[in-house]
Amino acid sequence: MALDLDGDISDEALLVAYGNGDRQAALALTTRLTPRVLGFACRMLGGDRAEAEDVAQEAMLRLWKQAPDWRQGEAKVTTWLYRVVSNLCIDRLRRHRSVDIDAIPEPEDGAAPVTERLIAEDRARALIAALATLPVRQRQAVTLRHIEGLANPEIAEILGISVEAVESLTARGKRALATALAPRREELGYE
Amino acid sequence: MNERNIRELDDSELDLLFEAARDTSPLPSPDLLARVLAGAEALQPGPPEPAAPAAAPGGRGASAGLFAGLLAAVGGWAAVAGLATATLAGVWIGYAHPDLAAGWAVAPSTEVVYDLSDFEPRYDDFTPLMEGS
Repeated sequence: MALDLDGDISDEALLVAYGNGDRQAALALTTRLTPRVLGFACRMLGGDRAEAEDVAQEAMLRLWKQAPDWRQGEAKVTTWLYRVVSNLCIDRLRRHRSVDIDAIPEPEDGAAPVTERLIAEDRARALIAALATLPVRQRQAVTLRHIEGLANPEIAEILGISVEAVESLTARGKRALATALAPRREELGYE
Repeated sequence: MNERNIRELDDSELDLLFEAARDTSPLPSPDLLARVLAGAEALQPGPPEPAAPAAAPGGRGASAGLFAGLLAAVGGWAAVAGLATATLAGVWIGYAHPDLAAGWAVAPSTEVVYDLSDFEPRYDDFTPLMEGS
C-alpha cells in the first residue's frame, strides 16, 4: 500500500492493512494520527508537552496492539483513540492531583505582540491555563467540541455519556471559561 | 477597571481563542514519531507466509531471492525500519518546518576551503606533549 499522508484511505482500512503486515500503513497512520493524539493530550494536561508525548506514545501503542482484533464498522479509529487518550489523561491528572498552572508560560506584560502568531500563542496559552481550571469532564467536552471539532454524538461515545449531557458540559464549560478569562480580556487583545 | 464590571468574553471572542489553540497545536517531534513507529514495528503481525520459491532461474524464486539478498545487504528489516523512520522524519520536517529545511538547503558549502597540507602533522601539534614531559 502506498504511503497515504493525505487521507484518501480511511483510518480503518489502514489499520486493517497494518494488522495484515503492511508496513506503509503504519507510517501513514503514525503521521496522520500522532499529531491529533498529541494535541488533545497536551490540551488535556494543561500544556505539559512531555506528559502529552508519553500519553500519545502509549495511545498509539495500544492502537497497534488492538489492530489484529479490530472489529470493522463498530467504531471510528479516531473515536477509539480519543477515548484511550482521554482515559490516560484522567489517570495522569488523578495521579498528579492537579495541573501545575504555574508551569504554563504566561503571556509577557508590556509591549504588544508584534505578529499574529504571537497573539495566537498568547491566546492559546491563556485558554489552556483556563481549561486546566475546569472540572475534567467539562475540559474534555469543551476541548473535543471546540478545538478538536468533533460532533456531539461522537463526543458522547468517547465519554460514554448522552448527547444531552455533552451539550450541558460544553455549555457550562464555555460559561466558566468566559468568566475565568474576563479579567484578561485586554491582554488577549479584546476591548 | 472594577472587577465587578469586567465583562465576560462572548461566544465570538471565545471562538477566537479556540481557533488560536487549533492554529498553535503542538507538532510531534521526529523523536516521538520514531518511537511510535518503533512500537508499530515491534507489535506488527508478520506478513502472510510467502509461497515456497521455485528453483527455476529467472522465475519467482529468483526475484524473491534477489529481494531477500537486497534486504540482507542493507541489514534486514530492522535496518529498513530505521531507513523508514529517517525518511519519515525528513518528510515531517519538510512538511512541518519548511523554513528549517530551506535553511539547510542554502547553507554555504564553499566558504571554508581546506588544503591537503592542513591535514599533515606539524611540529606544533606535538609541542604541548614535549612541554608536558
